[in-house]
Amino acid sequence: MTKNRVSNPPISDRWSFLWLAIGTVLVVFSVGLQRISLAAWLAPIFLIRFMHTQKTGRGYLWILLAFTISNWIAWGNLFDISSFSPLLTKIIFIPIFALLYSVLYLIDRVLSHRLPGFAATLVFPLASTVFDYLFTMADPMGSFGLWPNALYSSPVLMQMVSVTGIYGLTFLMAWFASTVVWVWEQAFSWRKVWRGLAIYGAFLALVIVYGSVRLSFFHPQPGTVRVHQIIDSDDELVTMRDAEMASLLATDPATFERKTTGVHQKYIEDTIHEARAGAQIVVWPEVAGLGDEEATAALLARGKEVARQEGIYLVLPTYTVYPDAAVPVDNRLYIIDPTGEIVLEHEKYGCTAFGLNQIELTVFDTPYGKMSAVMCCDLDFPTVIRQAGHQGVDIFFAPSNEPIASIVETHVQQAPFRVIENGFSLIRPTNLGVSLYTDPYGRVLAMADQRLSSSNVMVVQVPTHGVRTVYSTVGDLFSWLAIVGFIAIVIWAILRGRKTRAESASSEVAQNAAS
Amino acid sequence: MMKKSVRTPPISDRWSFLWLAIAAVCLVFIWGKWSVSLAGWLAPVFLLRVMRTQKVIRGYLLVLLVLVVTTVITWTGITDPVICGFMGFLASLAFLIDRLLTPRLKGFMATLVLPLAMTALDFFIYNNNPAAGSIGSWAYAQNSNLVLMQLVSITGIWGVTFLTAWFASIVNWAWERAFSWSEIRRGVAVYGGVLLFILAFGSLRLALFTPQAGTVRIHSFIVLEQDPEKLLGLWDTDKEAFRRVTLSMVDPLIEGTIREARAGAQIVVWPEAAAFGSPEDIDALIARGQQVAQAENIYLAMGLWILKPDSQEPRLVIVDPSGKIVLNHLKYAYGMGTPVNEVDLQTVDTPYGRLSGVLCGDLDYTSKINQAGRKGVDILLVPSFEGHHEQSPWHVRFAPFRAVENGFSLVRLTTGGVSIATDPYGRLLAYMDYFKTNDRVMVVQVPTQRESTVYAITGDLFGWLAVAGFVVIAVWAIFRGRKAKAQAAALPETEAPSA
Repeated sequence: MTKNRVSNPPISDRWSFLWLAIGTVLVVFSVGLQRISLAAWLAPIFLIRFMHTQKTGRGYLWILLAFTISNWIAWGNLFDISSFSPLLTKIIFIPIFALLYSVLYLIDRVLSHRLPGFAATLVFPLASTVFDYLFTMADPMGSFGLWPNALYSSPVLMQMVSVTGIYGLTFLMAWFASTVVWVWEQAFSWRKVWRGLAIYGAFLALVIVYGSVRLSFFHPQPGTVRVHQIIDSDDELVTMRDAEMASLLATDPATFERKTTGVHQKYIEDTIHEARAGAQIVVWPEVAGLGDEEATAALLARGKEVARQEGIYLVLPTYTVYPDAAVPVDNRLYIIDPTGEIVLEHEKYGCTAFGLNQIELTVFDTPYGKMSAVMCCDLDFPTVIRQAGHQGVDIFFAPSNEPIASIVETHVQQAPFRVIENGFSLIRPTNLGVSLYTDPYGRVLAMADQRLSSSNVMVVQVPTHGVRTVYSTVGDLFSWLAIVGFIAIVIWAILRGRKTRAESASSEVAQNAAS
Repeated sequence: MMKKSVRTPPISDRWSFLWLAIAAVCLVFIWGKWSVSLAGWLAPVFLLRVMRTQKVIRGYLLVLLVLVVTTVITWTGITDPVICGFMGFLASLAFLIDRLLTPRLKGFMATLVLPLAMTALDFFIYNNNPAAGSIGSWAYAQNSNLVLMQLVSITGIWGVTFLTAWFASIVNWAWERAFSWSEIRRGVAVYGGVLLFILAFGSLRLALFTPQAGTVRIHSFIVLEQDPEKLLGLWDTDKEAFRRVTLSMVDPLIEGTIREARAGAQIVVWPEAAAFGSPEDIDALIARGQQVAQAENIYLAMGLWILKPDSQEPRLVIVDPSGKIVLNHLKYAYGMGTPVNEVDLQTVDTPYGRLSGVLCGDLDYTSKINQAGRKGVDILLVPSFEGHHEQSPWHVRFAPFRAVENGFSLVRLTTGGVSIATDPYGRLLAYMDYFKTNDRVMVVQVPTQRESTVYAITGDLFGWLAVAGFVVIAVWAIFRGRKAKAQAAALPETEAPSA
């Protein structure tokens, strides 16, 4: 009996490959461009089950293949953003992705059987949490690939991130899967599984009750600021690749000039109009101020004038293109206060390099509360955005632009997690995508898909008081605890493995001696 | 053996009162002032357990007591305690029916008694309830679960009632078999399959469908600062003073309308009871509204409260850009105007789709709002008014269900409460809390095209199926009970010789 556990033969299950197939299909709808929470809850169950019913090496290779195929499908043409060929990017990145994610199942396969009873179920969730935490720190795409993003449709569960960060949800989902597999392996025998089920059930219930209570009884303090959003960008221009813009500017500066300054003029006119209609803050989306060096400088100067003259805060992103394609574009966000001063200048960093966690956010005070801002996929870096929570930011801006239609929904789904983690109101004006405004608990205050809207203006009353969250105070404590827990459980598993091996060896010796 | 299965004595369970206590806690959070989805799933589970672990009368009295007390707790401040108590009583009936019928049925089929009874009762009581519409249905506890809510686009809210009640009877069925996997696996698989299917339907509907392109810009604003009850008190005591106050409210409404029109509104909406006055004063206001609508080229929806010597009329009047009155709706909720059985919703075709409008509590009348679905309404305007502060969050929770059921976009502007706008799938497009907002203007881009839904076509079909199903299972249970009793009576004689 003991020996069986150590030599760790696969559980016999003639449906083994059916589970692999189901798991693979479910992964397609768990991560990537089409996330469905139900699939994300179920997928790991079948994959762990498959691993447990296969020999370690062989099972791992199959899982690797499954992840490669499912991720290949799941991410569609997301990779069509880099300057590389999309196919090449996919060929490089998908196997790396698959290799990294499949390791979790390998760790569980190797370690969990060495641990007694229900404790074995902790291997997979601890490993997953540690992996997600460390991986997101390095990933140039930030939190884009995280499994818990699929929970965007469950506001009650999402409240958990106000304590643990998004990685708490990784733990919750992964533990669900390992618990179900464990129950399965006990042949659903109530007598054997009820204690374990009660432990996981109590944990889940705690998370649900916390979320329900938070959403039912907590609202931001009274006080709102009136925000008007304008989108006047030229679709054709903003969907061009940087190199194409540079070449247009180099070859036909007159056309480039006409197109871009026309847009600038509209933005300025509409800003004045909205200010007079009652706006206290006017926001533009990312890439609104697209132009050459001279034009963006002029736009910024004009923006300062308008802000002063109309007494408004103006959120003004610029996108400076240089005729030399070798010079990278300058994607920058300015916020101008009612005196015409620049109170925030931020250069977009997201999706540009590895390990982007050293960025410092600018925070400034206003009569409408403390504010800070980043742009578009900068928001997908929990470690950076946490600074805003830590400094007590009330309103956070994230002007965005979504030139790739297929990732519009995926991208906006990720935004409320940062909100709930840090307790600020979010203002996310989005060109070619979904503009989203939430309160500090992630409740939607306003949502509009620009592609479906007949008007270019959005008006929202945004709460001026954020809330302090546990996460903004203790930071990634939960993830660090998971790291400690993971190390502890690995050591425990190895020691136990040795001990049982020694025991079984000595009992063999004893048997031999007796015979 | 046979006899035992027919007249099951209460299951012995020394924790019975613990289950009762848990049920009581859950019940406070199932409806009324607070609503937590989890409570909506768990409360029936434990109520049923209590019923089945107690003798019929004693168990029923306990359940009734807990239901009445918790209903009064959770609804106090919203409605009369007597009405609360009565709602508690109505909710208790399904559990009594289950206790009486389930022991007479064998196996898995018996789990259908509670869901069929609860759904049939819910449908019967609340679908056409002239007093307050569907407000008492427990289905609304699932308001935070948009995925599950998609089910109402087929079944109406009755499908949600069925699903949560069936969960309760399934859990109890498994509990009574000591969760022995070999006995319960088929039953769990059946229910799990149904639940999975419904969640997959909801997930896919939300993931794959968005409204068609094209929106209309709707501006709505609230100027009322007076306490309406004081205002109406003034009407009784000092009509001159009342008139002075109400006339002073007119200019801000007209000016606000012009301001919003010039800011880009295509439709401007006032809340329910934006203006109060005698028929003459209100007629004068409507005439000004017509002028403004024409001058600014907008649709204007006005919530008006007309005071006559012997009655009050809450009305919604919509004026088109030519200044013509195109819709004139008299509220029907709570017996305030139109008798419920005479309700015929008006619609108006506009460049922004087919528009209709009702007032506040009208929206809770499932079978009436279903008319909007059948008539192909694209946008439903629901100017609302909520008297008390503590009322604010509870009422708005019901609103998205109507949008999902009938596939229209919804704009609900609320004085003294939460204003929302949703798309035809119940996704929130705008949210504004009266008590938290400095500048009470809500601007929203609303899709101009409806989505067709099964419920809009079939309406009460699922509700009637549940009623039919309940009748069948009740008759069957009674018949089986008799037959078994007869057999049980006959058994000792036949057995005697062999012994």
